[in-house]
Amino acid sequence: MTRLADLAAVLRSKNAGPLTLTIDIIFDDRNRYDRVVRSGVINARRISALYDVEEDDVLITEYAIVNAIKISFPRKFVSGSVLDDDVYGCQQHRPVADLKVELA
Amino acid sequence: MRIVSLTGALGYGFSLEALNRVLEDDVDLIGVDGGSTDPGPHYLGGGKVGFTRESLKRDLEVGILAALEKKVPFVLGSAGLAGGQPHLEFITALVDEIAEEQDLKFKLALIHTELDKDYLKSKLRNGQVVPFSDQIELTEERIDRSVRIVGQIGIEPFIEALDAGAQVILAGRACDTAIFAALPISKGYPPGLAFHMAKIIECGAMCAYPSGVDVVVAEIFDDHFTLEPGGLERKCTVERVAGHTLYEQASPIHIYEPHGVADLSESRYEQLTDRSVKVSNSRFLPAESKTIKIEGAEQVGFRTICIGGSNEPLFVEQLAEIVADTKRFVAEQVQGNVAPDDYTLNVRVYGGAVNGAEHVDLASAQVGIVIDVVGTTQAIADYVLATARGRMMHFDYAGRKSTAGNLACPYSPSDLPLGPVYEFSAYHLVTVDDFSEAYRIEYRTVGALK
Repeated sequence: MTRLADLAAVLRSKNAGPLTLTIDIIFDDRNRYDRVVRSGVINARRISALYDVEEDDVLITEYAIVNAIKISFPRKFVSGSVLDDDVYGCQQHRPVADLKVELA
Repeated sequence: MRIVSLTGALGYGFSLEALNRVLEDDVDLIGVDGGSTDPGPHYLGGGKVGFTRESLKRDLEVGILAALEKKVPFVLGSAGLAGGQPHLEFITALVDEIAEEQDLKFKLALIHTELDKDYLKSKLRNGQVVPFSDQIELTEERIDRSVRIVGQIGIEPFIEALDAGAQVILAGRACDTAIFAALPISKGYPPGLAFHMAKIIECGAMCAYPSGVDVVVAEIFDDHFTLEPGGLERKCTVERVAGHTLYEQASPIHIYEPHGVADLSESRYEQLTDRSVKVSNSRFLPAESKTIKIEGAEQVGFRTICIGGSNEPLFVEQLAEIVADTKRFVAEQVQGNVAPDDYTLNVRVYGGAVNGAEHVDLASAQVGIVIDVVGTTQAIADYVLATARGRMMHFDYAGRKSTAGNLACPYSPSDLPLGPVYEFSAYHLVTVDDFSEAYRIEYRTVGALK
């Protein structure tokens, strides 16, 4: 089992507008990307559990042209609202970074 | 047609050498994006400009002088970050100052994008305000409470101002893409390519390696566009250019515009020279209705915070209980003076077991604490914060030996009033019959009396 962040070249989170968080996982080579996609580690049910969001609200896009997986879902708190703790949303990647992957 | 983007956002700066190299050949427009919602609701709500006056003026001055010399339009979108009336006025005053100092004369177009509240309320009543989600409920009361609401304009007002011969165009809140896509679309270039090109260059040289806030130039043709960074130390690569649409967007293959969607799912990327990339096959799918994205901000109170730290293992171990006790204590103390709904007390803890970490050694942990109070008045925020800080500072937790105080406060005063607090009050789509509902263009001749 390997930590996802150890396989990725870029693993980041950011706002996509004030209502949405988006996480990019970008791999250096196609082989790694393919193997992580095949492993099924990134799926709506798991993201829903990690971030406490509705499964139906999770958008996962496999973007093979740059070996990237993109995950987007609604913020728990709108950016900059009274209880929000990350206005830019740039430190919300950790639960995904810590996922363990069984590579086929 | 060659279009120059100065940098990622007005005020970030850019290299003069890079700009001059790009301007050795003919160009058709110099543009720059000025805004974002990314830094949060404070700027829209407070009427505050992002970046400093000095950095904004420098970028404006270099950009406008270059455009006038080349006899091409200078276009700024989302003036002053949030694109509201105070933001547009701030930037316009800087442009007037530059014109005065440099003895310039030009036709100026100001595109106003603050929306009338009665107009929005009637749109709401007609069911023409569509939410993206249930995160913000927009009501007539919330529209009234909002300090201001702006509409994100698309290409139409830019085309109108360009056709009217404006040499400098300063727009309120605008789609980042519209700044650069309006001119090529008005001249008949395919909108799919124009929007894709615009989406990449609105971030300046972020699509290059090494990436940076710097000059980039795009050239658009009938069936493709090319990208090249201004600085010779940078290269556009297929990987960077294709990867750029991942950034700050929910989907990497769709760019949503007021009158449709740019579809990048079939886009093709080719390395043209070692510093430039060619992009083709980006399409545009027109939407059935015209929509404008609106952004509003309302004031929700005033904030006071206290920053402290602790490396005492017993305090760190019992922190959850200490926080719960502090909230109970505060509620009891302020009862009669402050209603429970008149404040929010939030203790933010940094360090320790956060963000999904499996194991934290509390005995060697050090925590940072921000006691954060938002009250309906500054006096309430100050009062509740002081009460909470006092309790946490002197809380007598089990086994306490460090009895002189629990928090290392780095500042005197320990309690920091931060002033008004805003939240986004609207982030919705408004269906319009005509885009002109969402903007007003004002033309002026700058330097006319000289």
